[in-house]
Amino acid sequence: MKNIKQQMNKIDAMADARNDERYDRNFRSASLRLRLADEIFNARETKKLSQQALAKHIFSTQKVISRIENGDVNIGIDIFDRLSEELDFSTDNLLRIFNRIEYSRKIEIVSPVKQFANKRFFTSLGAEITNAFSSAFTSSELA
Amino acid sequence: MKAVYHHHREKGHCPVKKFFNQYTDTRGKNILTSIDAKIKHLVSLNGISKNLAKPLTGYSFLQLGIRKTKDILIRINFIRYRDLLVLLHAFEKPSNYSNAKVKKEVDKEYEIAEQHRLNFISNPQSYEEY
Repeated sequence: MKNIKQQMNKIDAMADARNDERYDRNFRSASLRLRLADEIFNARETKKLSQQALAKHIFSTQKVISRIENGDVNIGIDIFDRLSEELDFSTDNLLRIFNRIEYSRKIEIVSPVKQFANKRFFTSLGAEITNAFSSAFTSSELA
Repeated sequence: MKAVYHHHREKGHCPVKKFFNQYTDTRGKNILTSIDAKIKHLVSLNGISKNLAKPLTGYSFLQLGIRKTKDILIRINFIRYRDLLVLLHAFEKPSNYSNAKVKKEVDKEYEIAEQHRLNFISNPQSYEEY
């Protein structure tokens, strides 16, 4: 009996679950649900909406919102669409949900460079157009 | 922050780890993966999450909820202690109940969690790696 108890103490079901071939895939899905839960909860709090009010706006129930915010359910694309519209989701929200925050940082870093490049491009383009117009007018005046 | 199992010296085991050991089949492994993801997510947020970690009125620990089936929920009670997220106690309960008997059983589980909390506070070194 003592041996059985000792053996029971040695069993680690969590370690076994981590070694399972489906672990990575399921863990990734669960993490995605949890990030979505955080984004929905934070956006709802920012908008000062109750779960009940949000549910009413997206034609759902408070129970569903509660389960989503607890990371317990996979939601359909239609509910996600209604939620993102109601909670004014931006690309930042989506990048955080899909764990692509590095792209967000890239955009932030690249953005000023792009702006600078665009500014230079349009400035030079503007200068060329002005030159073209002025030379055209000058030549027509001369004619 | 890191997650740890509270080790009960008198009982000679970790209550939460022992609770997890009942989930050994395929479905059980999926449940444990969901639990693992939730705990790791909570650790990444330093144990602070308004939507996941809920405080309980009258108790000094927090609660993590995982849906096992449509009608059964798993509750994991934990505390934040320095840089540790200590898993104290876990149990299953029905998702909806108005029965006084069930309510009494749930309250009993919370009392056990409170005892584990006091046990850990008196021996803060009594934990096992999660």
